[in-house]
Amino acid sequence: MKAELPQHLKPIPVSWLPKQLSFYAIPITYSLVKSNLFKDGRIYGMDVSSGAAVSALLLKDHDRKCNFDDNRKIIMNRSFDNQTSLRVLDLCCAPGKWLLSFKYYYQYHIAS
Amino acid sequence: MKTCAIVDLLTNSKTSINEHYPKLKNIQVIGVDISEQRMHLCRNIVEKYHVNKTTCGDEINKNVKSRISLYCADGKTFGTNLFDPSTLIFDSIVALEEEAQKGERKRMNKSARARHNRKLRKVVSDEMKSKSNHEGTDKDDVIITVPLFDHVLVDAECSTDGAVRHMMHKLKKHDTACTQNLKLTDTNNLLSLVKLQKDLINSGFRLLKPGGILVYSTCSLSTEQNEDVVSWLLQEYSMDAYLIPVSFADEFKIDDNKDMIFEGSLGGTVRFHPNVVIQTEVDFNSRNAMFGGGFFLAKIGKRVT
Repeated sequence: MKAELPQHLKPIPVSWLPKQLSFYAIPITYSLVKSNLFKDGRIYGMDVSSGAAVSALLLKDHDRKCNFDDNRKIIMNRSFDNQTSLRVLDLCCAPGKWLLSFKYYYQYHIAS
Repeated sequence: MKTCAIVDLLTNSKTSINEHYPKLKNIQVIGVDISEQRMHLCRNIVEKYHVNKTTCGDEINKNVKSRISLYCADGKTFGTNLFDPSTLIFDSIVALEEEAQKGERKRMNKSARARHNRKLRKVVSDEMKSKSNHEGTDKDDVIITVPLFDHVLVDAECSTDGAVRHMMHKLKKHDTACTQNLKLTDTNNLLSLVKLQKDLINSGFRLLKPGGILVYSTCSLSTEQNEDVVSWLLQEYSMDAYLIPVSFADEFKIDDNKDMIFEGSLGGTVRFHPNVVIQTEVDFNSRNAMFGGGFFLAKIGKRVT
């Protein structure tokens, strides 16, 4: 992408989302649809606020530390050690960017 | 103002998830949407990034298989006895099989279409059979017919008043939807919209596994469609549902976030104020570029009983 953008317009990593999600800010004048990276399926456009929803759903990075009662602690510590499959549902899914972000996140963040 | 996710860079770290699910082999992602037109677009996008060999990239992690299925169905009744299984319009395993077989032929003939529909029907019946018996009926006596989910996202239909770029686009076209947003300003319209949002969050929550996580979001900033809907769910399922407080401003230690990201009126929920600064090439800088449309989100857990 750097090659497609002028020198002074580098994509900026969104610092308030976890690095694993790879969200970058790009100038509004940069046409995603016309870029080769987009045509090759190597990037997809998504509003950063929507990225926050993915992050809250899949990660614990944003959970505020608070004093839960014992009952809640048990829930938090539920063991996933033996879970071999994971099911994710998106009830109002179109246009489908969230579905992609789930797939990419899980596929790429498990040690192979 | 505009952001994108870079697929290739996602490989950089392989940490967090593995700690939670050390033996994970399969991920099943199910998308549901009621609009045929939007679902058509959705299917094209999923095909591009998940099926089409030239654009879906290399499968980097062969140990974990992901499957995406799409239902053009009503989110209010999905996964219950009230939903129609023939609404499955896409399944990535079927699509990948067909992609491998079809070779040069672009369109399916009659018998190929019949085979395709048979395969989709089998996917649904397998899905329903795999439901374990203890996942019984809901408190409204609705029978749940599919296995429950670990994560559920309910990005509900809303008055879209926070989606500033979308609204500006409409304004240019002289669309009255942005100057007279009846979904927001007309009492009856708003009431029926809120009813729909409650039905959707209720549907999502009953399909959630105990111990699972649900995120409710909208691109509206009206309290009726956000905090009030979440409070209603927490009350309705007071024995099972609890709010997990989240914050995007503190953890990352950026003071700049403070005028863009706020806590909702229900403590622990988050509101993103819309970024109205137009990013031209001249003033493209990190401060303004990092925020997007107006948005609300709440994270809800389901107790293990």
